[in-house]
Amino acid sequence: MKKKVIVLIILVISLMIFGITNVEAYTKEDLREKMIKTYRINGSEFKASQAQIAELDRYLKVNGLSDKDALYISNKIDEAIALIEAGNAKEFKYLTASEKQKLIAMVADISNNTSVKAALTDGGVLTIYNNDGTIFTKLGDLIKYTDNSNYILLFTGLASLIGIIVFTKGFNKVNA
Amino acid sequence: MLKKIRGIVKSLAVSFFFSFLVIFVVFLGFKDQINTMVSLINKMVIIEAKTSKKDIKIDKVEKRLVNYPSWGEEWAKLKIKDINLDIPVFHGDTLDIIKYGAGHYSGSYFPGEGSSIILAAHNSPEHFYHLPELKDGSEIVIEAVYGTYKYKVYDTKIIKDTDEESLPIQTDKEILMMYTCYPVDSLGFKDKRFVVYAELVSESVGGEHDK
Repeated sequence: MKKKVIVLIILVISLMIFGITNVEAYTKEDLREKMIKTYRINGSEFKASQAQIAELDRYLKVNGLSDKDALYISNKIDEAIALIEAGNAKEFKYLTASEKQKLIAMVADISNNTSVKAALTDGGVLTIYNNDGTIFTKLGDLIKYTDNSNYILLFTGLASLIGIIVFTKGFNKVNA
Repeated sequence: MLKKIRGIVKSLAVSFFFSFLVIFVVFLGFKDQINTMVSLINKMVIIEAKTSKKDIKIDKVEKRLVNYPSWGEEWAKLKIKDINLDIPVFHGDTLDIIKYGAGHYSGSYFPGEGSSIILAAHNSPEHFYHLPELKDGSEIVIEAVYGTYKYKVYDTKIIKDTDEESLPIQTDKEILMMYTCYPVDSLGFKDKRFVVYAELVSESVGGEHDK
């Protein structure tokens, strides 16, 4: 009977160790699942866009990610969610300056402690780098501004202004 | 002192009034010439653009590129016969990239990946100025470093600059979407985009595009 109890205790302890080890094992696939799921924060739903998922998959394919780094980033995501939940903002641009700085610091922390190198500006542009230091992507708005006519406006505006000022000065001098 | 300030303010007010008048007249009369000059200035810096040195390949079974061009690197040529367009395509679509040609939105996919591809370019004469002239049936060719892909226009649309739903990123079908600021020939801030939608009609993998 005593032998059976000892074996049972060893079995339970082994299962616990196995279970704990399993719970702590965190892979890049787990991180990907975490990053693409829907979150409800401050009454709004947040979900990675298809574009962000495409870039995430491409990043993981090109650069890879260790389990250790995946877990580190996962914990930072939890911190970021807690930070946003504590505030009222539903978009990055509505975060307070202090909240933005905290998020920027979190990204810097990930950069300093994992193989993922990234930088976040207070304008909300996230730059992610490849392992070789080259830019992987600059995540911003999908639809960009692609107009050239402001150069024309600037050029003609400046030229006209200078021309007219000179003309007006000359006119005033003549009539003085 | 006050008299002097009033004199300066009066000069500036008159200057501003006549400036706007002159801008309006110049714009009406010489818009095309100024556009060309600005475009030439842009072309002068094209020599700084990077061409991809990587041997980029596509896995036809997985329908995914095996490796990818770097940010800011040229990886294809975009050719549209109907509007005499032949420009390079770069990976990334920030302002510093699209002054050299068409920019590829990095959140979209690549030709041959069976998914959405989004290209953006300036509405200048040598880029997407003539995009609104495309009609259903117009052929678009992307000569990528890993293969040649032909698309046929099936729709065009004018959208607001915040209407991301009109540029859907999906993985069910290969759709090419190209956009530029609209209207293409007016001054001032533009909050609209002209979008062309085209579907893949043929592909041939392998062979580099003419550089």
